[in-house]
Amino acid sequence: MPDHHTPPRPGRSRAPALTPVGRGSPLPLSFAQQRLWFLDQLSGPGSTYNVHLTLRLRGPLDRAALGEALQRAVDRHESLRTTFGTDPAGEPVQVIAPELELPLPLTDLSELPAERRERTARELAVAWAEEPFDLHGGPLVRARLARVGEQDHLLGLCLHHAICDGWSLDVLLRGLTADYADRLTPVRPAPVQYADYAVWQRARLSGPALARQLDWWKGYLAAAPSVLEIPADRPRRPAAEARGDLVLSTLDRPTTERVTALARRLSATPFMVLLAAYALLLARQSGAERLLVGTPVAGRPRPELEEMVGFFVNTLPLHVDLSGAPGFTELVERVRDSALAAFGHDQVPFEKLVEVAQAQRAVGRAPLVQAVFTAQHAAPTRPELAGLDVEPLDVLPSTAKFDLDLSLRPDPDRPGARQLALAYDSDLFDRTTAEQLVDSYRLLLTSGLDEPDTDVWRLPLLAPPLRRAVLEQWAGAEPAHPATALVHELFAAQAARTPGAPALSVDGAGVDFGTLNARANRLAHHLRALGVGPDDRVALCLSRGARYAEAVLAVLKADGCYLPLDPVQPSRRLAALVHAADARLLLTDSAQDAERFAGSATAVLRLDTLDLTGRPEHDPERRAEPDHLAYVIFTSGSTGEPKAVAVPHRALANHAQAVRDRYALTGADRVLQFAPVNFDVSLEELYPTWLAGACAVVLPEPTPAPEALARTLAAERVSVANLPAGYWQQWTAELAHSPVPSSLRLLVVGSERVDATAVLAWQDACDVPLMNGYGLTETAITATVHPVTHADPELPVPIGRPIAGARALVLDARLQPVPPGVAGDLYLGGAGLARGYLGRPGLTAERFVPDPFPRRPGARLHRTGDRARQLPDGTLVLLGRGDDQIKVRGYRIEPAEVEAALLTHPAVARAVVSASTAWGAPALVAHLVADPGAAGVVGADELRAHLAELLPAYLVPRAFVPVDRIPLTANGKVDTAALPAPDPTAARTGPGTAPRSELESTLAGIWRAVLGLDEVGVHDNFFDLGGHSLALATVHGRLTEALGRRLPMVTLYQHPTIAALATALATPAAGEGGTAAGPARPDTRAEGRRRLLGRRSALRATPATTDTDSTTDTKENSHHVR
Amino acid sequence: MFDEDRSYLVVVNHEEQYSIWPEGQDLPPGWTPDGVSGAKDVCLRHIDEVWTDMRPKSLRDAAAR
Repeated sequence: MPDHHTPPRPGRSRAPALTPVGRGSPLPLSFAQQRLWFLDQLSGPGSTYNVHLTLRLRGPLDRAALGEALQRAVDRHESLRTTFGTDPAGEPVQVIAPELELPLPLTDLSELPAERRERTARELAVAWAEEPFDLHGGPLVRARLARVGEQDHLLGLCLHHAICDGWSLDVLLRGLTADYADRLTPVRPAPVQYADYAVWQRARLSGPALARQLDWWKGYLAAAPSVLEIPADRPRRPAAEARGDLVLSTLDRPTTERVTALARRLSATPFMVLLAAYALLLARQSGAERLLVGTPVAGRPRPELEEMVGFFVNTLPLHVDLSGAPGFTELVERVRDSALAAFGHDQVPFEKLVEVAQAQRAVGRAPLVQAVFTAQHAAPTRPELAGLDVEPLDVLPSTAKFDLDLSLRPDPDRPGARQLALAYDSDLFDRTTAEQLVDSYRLLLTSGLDEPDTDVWRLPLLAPPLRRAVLEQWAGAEPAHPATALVHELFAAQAARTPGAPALSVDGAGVDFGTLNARANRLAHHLRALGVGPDDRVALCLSRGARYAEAVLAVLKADGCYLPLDPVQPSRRLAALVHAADARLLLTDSAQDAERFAGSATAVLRLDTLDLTGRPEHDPERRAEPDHLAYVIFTSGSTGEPKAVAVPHRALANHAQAVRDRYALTGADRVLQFAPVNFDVSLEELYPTWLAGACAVVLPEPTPAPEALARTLAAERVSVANLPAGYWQQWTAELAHSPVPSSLRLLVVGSERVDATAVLAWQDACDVPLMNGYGLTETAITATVHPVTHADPELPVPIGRPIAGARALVLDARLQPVPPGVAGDLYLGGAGLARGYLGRPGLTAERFVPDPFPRRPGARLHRTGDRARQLPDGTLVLLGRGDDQIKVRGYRIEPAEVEAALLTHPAVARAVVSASTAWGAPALVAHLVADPGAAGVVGADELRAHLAELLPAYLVPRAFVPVDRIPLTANGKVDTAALPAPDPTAARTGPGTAPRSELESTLAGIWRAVLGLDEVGVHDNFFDLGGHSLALATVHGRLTEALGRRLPMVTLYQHPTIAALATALATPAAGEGGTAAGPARPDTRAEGRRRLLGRRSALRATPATTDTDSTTDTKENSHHVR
Repeated sequence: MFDEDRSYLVVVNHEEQYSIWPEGQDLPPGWTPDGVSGAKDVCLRHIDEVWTDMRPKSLRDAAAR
């Protein structure tokens, strides 16, 4: 039994005695039974709620005596003869058979070869445990025997949870001990049995008494979120039965003793100390500062219940508040106070608590609590059967009731130690993740005991091996390229090796390495003569082309650093940038451009008229150091004020070589120069190319439309191109007309978030590898690269791993590394780090901060402001800007995740998700731009159904607002403030939209009758209207009758509004019995991919296709689709 | 962590590069407090005043030779 029974239990003494009730009238179910009955209706017969026990019996077994002893138990306890039926009104009732014969069939394994015998015995035990029960037909208890050897047997007992619990097993085993020894004393059943308890419970928990209790719980649960989202390895599937597995470990004796000592010191129990560490683990994993952990309580408030077999155990949601910076001691105190308060109200059945908390329900997620904790103070009862050595056999669970279920009990093999068992949902978590969680639990507990006053959020979460992997391997282990030679020197060396090879191709005309180097040298000597030296800024007002290439090399060769300006920008802005960068010189190649800077203090040099006669062609001797600046590029800040990022040679030299190697560039490559010169990706298109001896192909101005790019690539035989994701995505939509040229061998995308559907379209159309690059000007262009594979999940395409010399860390709010799967802030550092922002020391100090885990003391990291998480192998996934993070009802939400999911719908071209207070409390709103190929933005019900398959319910926006375009700020960012606000009344529950079809009217009629309401809107959520699971079962029954066909209960769960349900029922696949829950367990990714591909190609084939219903829906709710 | 509403230390490394660090959090190796602490904007304004040459110290030393 759970060992937190020290608190006073006021309910116990006050509870009135039980009296037997007649067996003639229908016997109601207890609340707990009702819940299981409902779940059984929901998912059909299964083994999730099997309670099983396997005993190894060594010695001479008296089979007859064992059989009789088991039969005596069945005779003694009505529960073991109970099944479940329905009364004429459709209400579930307990049906007690006056007699029930319990067979004890024997499987003889003793003839099998010895080596197969043991394995078969274990397999048999698992099979026994997993055999499903039929609640209606019964019996709900089974006994099985296997003979492994003459003196070696396995006894399997399996019962449905609806008629027993863990305590009941102890009762049964004690009875078995007595009955095996004594078959003569007549069985005297107890005068009161479980059915009497059910009647008593219902009488007791009704009216004002229940209302008082529920009020208390309402207050207790109000502050805690009812969903705990622990980052998982796989998305949750709306499957009714989840697979489960178990990780076993131990808590050694010294730790166990320290737990007891701390508990004693704080007037708490070891349960509370162990729970505090568990809550801390969950909080650190999820980022939630308040959470609910379920814990079982015995639920036997009367002495006469103690020897009863039946389902008494109740689950209490314990609210743990980890806000602020409590030390472990304080956390245990908070847990103590919260647990004591909850235990004082432990008679309210869990199902009632789910109702009062109005917890979100979703198939595939346990309501209210997703994580459970149990601490037992005694090892399970081991029956003593005369003459036999009895040993319980561990049979692992194959199904999971909760996401995570941690239990601790005294270790039977190690005195003083505790056995730790984490049962986990293996549909969600990998075994390695579950093992990491157990490691983290022990680590948090021991460090909490070691440092009881340290802020618990700063205690180490990662066990040493994982921490090392995160900080050393994942952060970037490949060393930087030494900065012994700078990029222009490396270029010169290449020119010496391959002087005749083309370095540049402009409008079909080539410039070879030798010529380019010689021209750059002459200009460099001239610049030196004009006084240019290390760290001197030379502005370049030049478009990409031969003269630009010559100029950048010349500035570097002159030891200066260059500031590239895009000539198409307004003169005023360019002049301001030149001024802000304090440029010494400005180079242009036309009279008009020179004129634009006439008033500037900076000297202007026109390259088109410059006479370089007499300037030598040899390489100038280098005077710049690796920490001198190579270039300065302006980026726009959040305030809109441009910042000049100053990047040293060291960063550029490392980047050029690392990227050359990463893209495997060779002298045979022809690399597109696409990016405008003032965008640092343009540097990535030049230096790595040249350092490979390859040719940079300059894209002619103006930039062609995406669908026309393929022609240019083919004509210029381009082998490698780096395109902004948005531009590339437009091309992917036109791949049928604008096929990928055969010369292309690598496509790099980046600069913006990559849409997974575009990736699929690309992979569908060609075999050209894709790489997703990520980086910031502050860390020298690209810092991480991900080779996109076919196995990548649909949602955010990863940004990969750091390039050589780069460093990437994902840290939480306390600057601690986060475990895989957990979102944190992305920090970049390493060789690519900029010096800072030119002339902005304060801003530099704010964005370039001390590396908390430096390889070299004093190292800095750039705070990117982006949120990211890591896959289990360390691959980075970008989640969006930190500033974009939204908190809704206590959940930290990454809008990017929701946006990415919305974009997987073929009718959605763009999506912006933000928080709105239109309803009072903040709620999510999605603004959507319809895909031009679609007939408009689809109805909210369809979008909601689509998202429900991809996201947890709290990430599904409350309203979907169609817009023609997404408004942008001057900096090109989404202007959230300019988005139209949702109309709160459009999304209101209550007398909302009236039924619009016959089917909806039928459904509404059933709802009104079951819920006792005069009016229901087709968009009202069943559970918001006060519906609960039992009411849903009634709806199910009536619907089956009305429709004349049986549909799976999960369909009702998945579509909790009339409109959604009607849509689902109108779709043929959903209505057919048994299929709506989806195939048993398909590969999620493969299925998602097929789905996405199917939708995409369907969309391409018939662009106007959309079902009439959703078009009507869109028109009716022209502005605010709910 | 680098929120507006908390207290920071002004810290400096061996290259005489300045930064800020949340007060109360263990200071990583290679950094020393320069003595100023307080609200973020106070720290940043101080850095704007004292960090007049943003070149790393080793570069300044090399350039002076």
